[in-house]
Amino acid sequence: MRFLPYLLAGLAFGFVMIKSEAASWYRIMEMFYFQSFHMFGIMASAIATGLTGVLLLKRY
Amino acid sequence: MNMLAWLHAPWPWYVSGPLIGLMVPLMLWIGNRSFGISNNLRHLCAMTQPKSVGVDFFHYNWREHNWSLVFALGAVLGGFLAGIVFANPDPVALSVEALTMFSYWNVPIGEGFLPPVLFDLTWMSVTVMFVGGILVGFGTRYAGGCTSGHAITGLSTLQSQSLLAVMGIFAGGLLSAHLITPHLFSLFW
Repeated sequence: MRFLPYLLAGLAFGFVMIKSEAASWYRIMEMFYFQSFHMFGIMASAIATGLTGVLLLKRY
Repeated sequence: MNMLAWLHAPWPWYVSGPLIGLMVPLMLWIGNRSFGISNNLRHLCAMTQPKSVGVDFFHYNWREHNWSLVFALGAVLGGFLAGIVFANPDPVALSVEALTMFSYWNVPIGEGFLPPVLFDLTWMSVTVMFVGGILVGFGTRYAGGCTSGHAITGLSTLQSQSLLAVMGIFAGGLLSAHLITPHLFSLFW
């Protein structure tokens, strides 16, 4: 089943989007009023991890 | 903390952020794909376009992008698991400043991610969501991506166009959150 990896990756992504509360209307409004670090922390650490991961993947 | 409690609790940003970031190298590793979600809006249109309409933008072999639709299906299932099966029994733990603002707006903070007054099925909420959906649908295709593709994948691969797109998305969000949202409530109560 060649689509299984994509189904599992999507499953992980959907799960984390809810557990991070990044999909919450309240969290998004809180972010646009700069009332919490939460969403900015998610974005910054996600980009830092993605960047590192892509660099490592290119090297090995 | 035991496993079950951990599955029900929300995850702090320093756990969930890196996990979201891992999606970029993961998708590259699985099949050399770019992580993103909003391309599916185009694929769904291409799939369902009647032969008689013939918009060039939707003339391509969408079957090559089946994996993307499967990914989106997985995301829906994952969201169902995290939000319904392993739901957080408590309301979102917002900052004091945000709680003050929502109370000033008369927006109740119950469990779940959406204030019921704004998202209950009424003609007004459906109208607002429909207009929002059209703007999102147009914007993501015009910009060639949404927050997933541009902010996470684009910035992780150092693409200057994605930085521009992210600045635009955030500026648009700021404008709408400050100029539209506070006035939207008068339509609902």
